[in-house]
Amino acid sequence: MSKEMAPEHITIRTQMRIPYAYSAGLYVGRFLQELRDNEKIYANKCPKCGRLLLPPRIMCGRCSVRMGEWIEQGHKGTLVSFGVTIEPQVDVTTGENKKVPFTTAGIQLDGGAAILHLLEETDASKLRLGMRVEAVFKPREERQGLITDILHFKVVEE
Amino acid sequence: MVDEVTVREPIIVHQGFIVSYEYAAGEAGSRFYVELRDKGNILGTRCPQCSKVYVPPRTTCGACFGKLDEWVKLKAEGTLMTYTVVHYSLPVHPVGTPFAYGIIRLDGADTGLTHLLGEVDLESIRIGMRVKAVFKEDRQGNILDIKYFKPL
Repeated sequence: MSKEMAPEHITIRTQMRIPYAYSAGLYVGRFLQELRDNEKIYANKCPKCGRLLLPPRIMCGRCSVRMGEWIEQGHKGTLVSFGVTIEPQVDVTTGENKKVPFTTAGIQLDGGAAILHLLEETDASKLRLGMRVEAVFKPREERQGLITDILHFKVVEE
Repeated sequence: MVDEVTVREPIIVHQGFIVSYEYAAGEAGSRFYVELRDKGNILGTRCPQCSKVYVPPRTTCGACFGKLDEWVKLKAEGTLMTYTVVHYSLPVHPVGTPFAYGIIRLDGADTGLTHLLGEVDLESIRIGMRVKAVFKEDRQGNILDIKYFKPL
């Protein structure tokens, strides 16, 4: 047959899917159950250094002691940091681009622990550090025992 | 407050990654897929130095480093060199389990082509059996334009 070039150049489009599962364990498992079943956000406290861990863990990594008391954090807190993402980026769990804009925020909960989550407001000019925010949960039937059972936090007037 | 940590049920978190990607089939791969898609033919390349025939085609001979620019059309029939029956389902597999993958040496080729085996009782697959390619009606220009190989 002939030695001519390929008539057109073919591109193969494909996907690699890597599913996995892990046990959330005793502490994070209980944390996720409380989120899903009772809309409660828990942290636990180190009896030695006094810091709060969210999600709760069995040991304090700094003090190497068993963590102590579980403290409910409430739904409200204060905005301590935020960033608005405007550049599309791949969501590795779906293989598709994330919808932009979205806001990632650090929130100091009234119970004392900090949480990193999404914020409903995506207009940075309407956000100020120190604003009061509140967790918005998904409806009970949509909650799966994941941190995304909290849909996002929203700014509230107080 | 939760005094004693007890889990009423184990929480298993199901997650995963999906990585979308694409790659160029290249000079030889493009020609192979275009011919497969448009004419339902399987092409290979022959080494002018050592006469080895590669299917799917390549541009360089792995045995003698010769440039492969002689194209040959192969019969869609060959011999099963080896196979494996898959029972564990994964997203990477193009079909549901149970099914079989085979490595087929087409008549006139010197290399094995990995593909699916179809229209076959999985228990009756044997190394050395004669098989034939079954082509899809609606071909897209990828290796699954061959649906599977079935026993002759």
